[in-house]
Amino acid sequence: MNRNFTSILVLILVCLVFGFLTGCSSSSSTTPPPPPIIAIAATSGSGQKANVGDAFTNMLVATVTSNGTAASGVTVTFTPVAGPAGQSCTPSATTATTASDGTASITCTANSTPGGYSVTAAATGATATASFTEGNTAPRVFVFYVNGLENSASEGPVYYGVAGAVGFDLSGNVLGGEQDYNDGQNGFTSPVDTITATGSSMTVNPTTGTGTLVLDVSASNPNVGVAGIETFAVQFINASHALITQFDGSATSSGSLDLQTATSAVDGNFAFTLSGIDILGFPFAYGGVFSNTSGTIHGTYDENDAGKALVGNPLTATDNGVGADVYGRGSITGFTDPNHGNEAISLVYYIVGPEVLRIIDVDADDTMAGSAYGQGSATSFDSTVLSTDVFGILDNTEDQLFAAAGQLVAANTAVGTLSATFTGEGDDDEVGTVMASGTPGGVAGNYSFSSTMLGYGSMTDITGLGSIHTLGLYATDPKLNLLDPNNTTAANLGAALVLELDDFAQGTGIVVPQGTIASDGSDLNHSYGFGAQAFIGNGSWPTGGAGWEFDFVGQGTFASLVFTTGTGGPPTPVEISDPYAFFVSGTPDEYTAVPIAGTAAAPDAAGRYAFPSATPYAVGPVGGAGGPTVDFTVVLYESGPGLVFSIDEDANSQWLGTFQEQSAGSLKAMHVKRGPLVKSHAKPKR
Amino acid sequence: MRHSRFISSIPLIAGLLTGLLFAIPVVPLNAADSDSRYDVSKEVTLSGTVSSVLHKPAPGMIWGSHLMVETVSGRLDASLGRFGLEGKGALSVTPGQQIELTGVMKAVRDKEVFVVRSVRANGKTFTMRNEHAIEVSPLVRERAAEKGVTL
Repeated sequence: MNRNFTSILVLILVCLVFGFLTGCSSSSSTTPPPPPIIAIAATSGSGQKANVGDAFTNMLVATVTSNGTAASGVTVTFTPVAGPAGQSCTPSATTATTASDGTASITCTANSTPGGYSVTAAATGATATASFTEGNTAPRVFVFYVNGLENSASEGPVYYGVAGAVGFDLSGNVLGGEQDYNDGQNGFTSPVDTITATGSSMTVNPTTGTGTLVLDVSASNPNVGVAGIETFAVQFINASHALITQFDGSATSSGSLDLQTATSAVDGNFAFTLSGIDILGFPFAYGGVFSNTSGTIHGTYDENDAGKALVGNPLTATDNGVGADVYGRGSITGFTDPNHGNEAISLVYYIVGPEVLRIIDVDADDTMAGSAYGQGSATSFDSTVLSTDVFGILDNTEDQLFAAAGQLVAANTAVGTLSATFTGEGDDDEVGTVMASGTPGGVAGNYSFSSTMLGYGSMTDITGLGSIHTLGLYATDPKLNLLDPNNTTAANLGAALVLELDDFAQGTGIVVPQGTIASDGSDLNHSYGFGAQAFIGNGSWPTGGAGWEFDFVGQGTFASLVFTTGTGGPPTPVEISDPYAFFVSGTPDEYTAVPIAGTAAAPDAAGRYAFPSATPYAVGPVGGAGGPTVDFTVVLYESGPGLVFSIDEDANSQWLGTFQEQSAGSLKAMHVKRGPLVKSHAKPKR
Repeated sequence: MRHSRFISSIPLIAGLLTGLLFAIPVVPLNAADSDSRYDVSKEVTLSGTVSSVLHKPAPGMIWGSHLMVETVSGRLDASLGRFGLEGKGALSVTPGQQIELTGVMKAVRDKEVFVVRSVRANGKTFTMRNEHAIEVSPLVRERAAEKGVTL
């Protein structure tokens, strides 16, 4: 028994020693297997956009692998990383466990702030994370652009342009937005100014369509507007289109505010014009045509730089697309300035719709603003682009200053004919001097289109229109409304953009078809939203360097040629931005509720209306009962009941503006700040 | 002293005589151009004495600042444009001062106006407009100086 016990004990000890030695030997001579390599990737669900408050359509799916093989049972943590304005989403779960195929999924619901942000996914054991790029969109986005005259603290009055987009919820509250503001190296920078919901608002009188848009960009750019708060007077024409002018004393300008109906895909053929100041500060402008095929831009353009016109420049550029931007903001590189050593011109655009882009030059030392308009499905443009049309052309505010409007009647036009002639009638005011004043048949010239560059043309040998002798002519989609892009039911669709190519100025404008004109003026018996950009010769502010522009928007009604402005409000039309003190010498101001009244004479055969001196276009009293009333020499050219150009031709002022027929029903449907939108109107097609 | 002459390095008397011989036929009133375009080939240089400085136009004048200048052919309305007397480095002259003007005579609103491209005063040349009569703003002056560009 004892011997057996001793033998067993020895055996155990031997085994233990052997085992220990074996273990030591093993540990010192065998490498343990490496830990598995855990990796995580964003498999699907990145790059989505959803309206604020909505869940993203597709799940956010992450896949985890271990040594390259799908790993199941791994915990994945999803973490939204909010954007600078607080934009984010709420995940359905913060963690999820991978299935047998290695995937873990969540849904995410956009919070109330538009903008781009990311959601990260981290797996236990993985050293790197995966990232999803997402974007919250506003249910209703309006794109805006203006250009005019800013009162720079360092430079005094100087050209500036702004383009941007602002998003609204269905109750009309501003959710956010972004803009590019550029005055060409005068102390303000761009891009990108973030429009914050806090501090921003829009109020609109649903009856008159007159309103106020306040954009707060103070957090990103306190140098613009008043300490970063920009105020615009707005005049809605219908639920998707308004005229706007900056209305805070920091600057004055005119432009357009339009409902956005697309945020991506701007392939196709376009015509465009841009106008601003070059790297030396001289006025310059571009006009031309281009095709955009998956981001590759080819075209031809004309440039007029301080009176030196270079025409037929080849254009090769790149549309860098919108990417993750939720407001339809994209960029184009490759434009150059051939008058300044082909210096690069960097452009940013905001998409209004598939055929309309608002464009701004965002270089530090030059700036322009303008638009590109689609050419539709056209495969050729010939002399039939023009038929019987009206036109309006306004100079760059930094330029010599002219305004022109009139009627053109193309002659001898035929399909396939590229060259033709026109006659017409026009008014032209150059620096306060009337150079043409509605002489029937007093305007004549030639025009032609290229047989190789789609819609690229010119008007030459123009007579009877003052110093205007040559215009670049760029055809647009004949089904596109150039002033109100979302309103294609109007009669005045198409036809072309123009650029002044003479050496005295570089204005830009449009040519639109003219319908039949009622000889008694009854065509105008409608409510109109109207506005204009005016240049003045007697600005009186600031002292020692007075500016030369005022702008206005308003609403009024023609009845048997008698025009009166609306009285509903607040805000009550008309709103005049006068930071350079035209109306009251030495007193810059923004005026509201300014009455305008006048009685026009019946139109001539060209659709030209004049206000006789006995019943002038009287603006005032400005600033209240004791303020001045100014009689302006105003002429109208009617395209049709829906669109009428106005031109002022006084010794101390000139303007170009429009009267655009209002749609009362759609104004009520807009309900900005006054209730929910009709669903079908609320969500733009994307 | 009121007088007018062409730019010249010859003595003053000779200059005056030359001016009397040629200035009047070079800038006759009926030679004025009513088109807004600026024809540099019609450019002339005149000399005279500033009689008044108008930072703002008088009624009937074209927009911008003006100098009224006495020349041998009479008083001249010299248009300097919107920026001629404004901003850093702008022209500064006073009545009685002799200056030289380069520009083109135009007829605007049935009146003669001398559209000035440059003014020589105080020993310096001040450019009011470029060769197409596009006005030179304070911003343009500043940038041209920064970039070493001659306007």
